[in-house]
Amino acid sequence: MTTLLLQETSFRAVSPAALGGFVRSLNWVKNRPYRDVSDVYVGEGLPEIIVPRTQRIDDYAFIVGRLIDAFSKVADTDPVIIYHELVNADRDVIRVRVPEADEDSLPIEQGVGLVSGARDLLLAAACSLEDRRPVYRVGSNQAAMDYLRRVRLGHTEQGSFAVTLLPPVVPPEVEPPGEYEHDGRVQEDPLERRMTGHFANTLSATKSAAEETASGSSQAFIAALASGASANFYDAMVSLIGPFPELEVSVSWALTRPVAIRKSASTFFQDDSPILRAASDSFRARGPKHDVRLFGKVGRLVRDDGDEDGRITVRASVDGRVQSVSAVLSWEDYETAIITHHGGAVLGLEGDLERVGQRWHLRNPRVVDIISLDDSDDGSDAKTLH
Amino acid sequence: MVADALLPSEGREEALSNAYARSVAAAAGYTTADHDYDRSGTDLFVQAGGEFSPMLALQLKATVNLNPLKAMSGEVFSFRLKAANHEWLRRASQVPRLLVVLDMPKPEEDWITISTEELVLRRCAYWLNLHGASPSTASMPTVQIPKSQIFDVATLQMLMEESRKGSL
Repeated sequence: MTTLLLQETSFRAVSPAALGGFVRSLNWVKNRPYRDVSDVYVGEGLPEIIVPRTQRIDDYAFIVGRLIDAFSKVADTDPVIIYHELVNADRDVIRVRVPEADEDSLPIEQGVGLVSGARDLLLAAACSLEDRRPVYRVGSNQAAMDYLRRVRLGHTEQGSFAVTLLPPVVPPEVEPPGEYEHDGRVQEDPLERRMTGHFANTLSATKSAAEETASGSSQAFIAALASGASANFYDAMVSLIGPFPELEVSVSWALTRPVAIRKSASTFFQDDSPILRAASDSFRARGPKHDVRLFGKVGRLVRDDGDEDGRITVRASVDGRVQSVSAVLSWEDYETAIITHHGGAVLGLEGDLERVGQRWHLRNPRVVDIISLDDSDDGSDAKTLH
Repeated sequence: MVADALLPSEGREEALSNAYARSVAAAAGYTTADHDYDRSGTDLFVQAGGEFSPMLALQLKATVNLNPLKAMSGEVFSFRLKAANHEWLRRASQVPRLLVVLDMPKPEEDWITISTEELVLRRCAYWLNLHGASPSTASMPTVQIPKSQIFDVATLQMLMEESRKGSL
């Protein structure tokens, strides 16, 4: 059995919430308080233990060390493994692992690729948490970037090439499950847990789509879009698979907010790469074209009473054909569109053009030009008004 | 002192207080474990068996100058501690912490006597629980140890039971 030799700060890196979640996962049950700073836990066939509920006690590190010994004996597991489980027990953990690595080292470029690919994979999932799109502009989703800033890179694990991503700490439940909030909504999981759940769903949907496509289905990746998959996600996965014959991506759930199945994993193979690459290309073709300029006459104007924004439709040239393009304009730009429409002028818009079903829509639009046409037949006296 | 002694007088006092505490624990059937003296404040851990194997963390002292406090009818001893020791003893911890002070006679030749009939280690130790005490601003705070709180086998067993209940 390995002896665990750590500094006090390492033991203090195990939070009381992590300790509590861990002991409950091994079927200990809280029995009574002890000295106002700890609790006695009991369990059938298990030794009674005392677990601190605060780090404010002087001997916290000493107690954690002793508890690791106890857990190690009960679980018949190396104390080093127990320690690593404990230190991450209050976080959902995402691991990207190369199972078949048969050397003691990895070329540095491949190692760097694993870390950056793992980051890109998580970022792509974060972008699609609240808004499903076939492709995202990297770095433009502030909420996703804010989330990524709170993710930490865990220590490498002995004996494998695994990148460990540590999303933010998942808080334990503050109310019994199913309790209603004061405004009638059912208590939701916190963002940290929802994000991990979304990542796991996207991963699973991607794996299923790859398998179904390989067996002849051409709709599988379109269906995966609803689960949060995107060209960005597929690109990251292709980059991760890279030169490796096999790659495993797993999610382990925080013990502070346990779920029925503690760990889920998806394995991708070299054969998946071309399929994912093709899916990415297809999504990018469907995805928005950024910073597009369109010119056309305003055909339709709709603004509900009380709204500041209004929806317009312009007839503009898209891919060489005149198409109807809708856009939702701010109050000021909508007023400009009204004037343009009444004056028979041509409106110039800039934004991100994307296809939504059979229709074109301009996202993030802004008016950039108004071109007044005089009565000449060829429009040669058209001039820009602003 | 013998010419080849490695321990100074204070070191021998300390070692004898350790031997005293270990003897009492052994007589009670408890195990003991050392801790680094100047790292945590614990000189000796004592552990019992039974329900969740309770422990006590002892800070051991020895002195030839333990005098009864005249102001309290001689029923308490006054004892001065280093500020760091006082702080360690009163701060919150999961394992109960106790001060154990061995009262020793002034003549060193009286500290321990051995014959074919007996081993005598003089004189006896007293215990004090400072858990929850107010912090002190003194550089050498003085504590008062009741003469009734003799650290012997029965007392150690009583203290261990209190530790088990979490009421120490």
